[in-house]
Amino acid sequence: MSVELEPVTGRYLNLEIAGERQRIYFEEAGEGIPLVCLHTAGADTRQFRTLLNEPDITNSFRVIAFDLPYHGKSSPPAGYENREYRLTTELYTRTILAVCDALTLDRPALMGCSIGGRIVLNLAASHPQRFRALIGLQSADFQTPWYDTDWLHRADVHGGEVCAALISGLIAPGGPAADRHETLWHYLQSGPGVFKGDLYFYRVDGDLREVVSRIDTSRCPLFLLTGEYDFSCEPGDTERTASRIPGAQVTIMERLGHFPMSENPEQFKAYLMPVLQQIRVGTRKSQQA
Amino acid sequence: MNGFQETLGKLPALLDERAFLQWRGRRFDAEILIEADHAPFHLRFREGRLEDLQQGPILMRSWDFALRADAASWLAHWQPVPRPGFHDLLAMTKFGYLRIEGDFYPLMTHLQFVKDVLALPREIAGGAP
Repeated sequence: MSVELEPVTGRYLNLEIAGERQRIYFEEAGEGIPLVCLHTAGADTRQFRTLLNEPDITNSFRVIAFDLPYHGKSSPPAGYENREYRLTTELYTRTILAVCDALTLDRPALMGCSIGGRIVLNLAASHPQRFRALIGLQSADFQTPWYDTDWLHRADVHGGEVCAALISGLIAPGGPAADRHETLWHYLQSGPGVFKGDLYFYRVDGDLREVVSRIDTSRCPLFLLTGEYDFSCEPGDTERTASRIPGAQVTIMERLGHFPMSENPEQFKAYLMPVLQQIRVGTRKSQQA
Repeated sequence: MNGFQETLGKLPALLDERAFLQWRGRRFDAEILIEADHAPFHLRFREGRLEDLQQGPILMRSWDFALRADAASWLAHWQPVPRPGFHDLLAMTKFGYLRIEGDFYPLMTHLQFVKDVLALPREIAGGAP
């Protein structure tokens, strides 16, 4: 019998964010430049499990992925039962900075996907000094809605089933079946109202069209990578966003959709490695300076 | 249009061969109107089986929800690896290739089942399920 123990460790952080105690689960692997990874709405750190197990990355990066409160193995805060969960731009930003502070990360690189890709733009505009590089996957300052989020959380419709069914079309066809369906499993398991609550940031509070013009990529490099099959954050949405950010580097990824790191990790790696190489070179140059 | 009609006609047999997919739809009882180039086709589902498929128009026949596209868009959806925008029913609605009308409740309670059934023709051309 073949047994394999992954080099990934998981721990819990207990900290205060925006006046509330939170118990946050994070996983990490590797040594070197810290690389913080942000999962998509209604999902969790498992989306990054292949990256955490990729020696070509972990031999020079300390890869860290954490579950937002309510997600994965992070708990909802006390009193969640009495209010509707809604992620805001401010709360999302404060959560990311608080986790980076709690782990005493020195100007980490950060990569976020979907809502994580959107918040990357806010971090680039408002907190560039905190990061050595920012990577937005499926990232745009605004996207046209394509369904009514009310379907995501109602007692007469199975939340997991409808969340997974809605996002299933955002995955590119033709990728490895096991990876595509594991990506769906994360949505099938999401807690009630969590995906919808994340989309409050995406749809209502997080319109960054007025914010991105403040981004100065000379203070922090910005890389935007979008899969060609994503019809939520279309390649054109990313390209429009980047056109307003001098110095932003855009890549449209073939045979990938909205979840590149989990739906087809091998295909994604081909696009990610050159970006990580640029971050390595930038780090070396700043150390020499 | 001929290619569309011929392909749609194979749908009952394709679903019959998939017991687990039928099981997933065991609580799906609905009548779907599928339109291609304005030609109507009525699909009656009972307990996950495609019980009846008839070309319309059929006088005073009601339906729960309708999926309206042109035949070329349906055929693009049924390519083994569809190109971006034609690979998913909701992608097709966002880009204006497909209109969904009627009662969304039976669709949303069985969205993946409906998507998977209507993607079955991809397998005829050797595509992945």
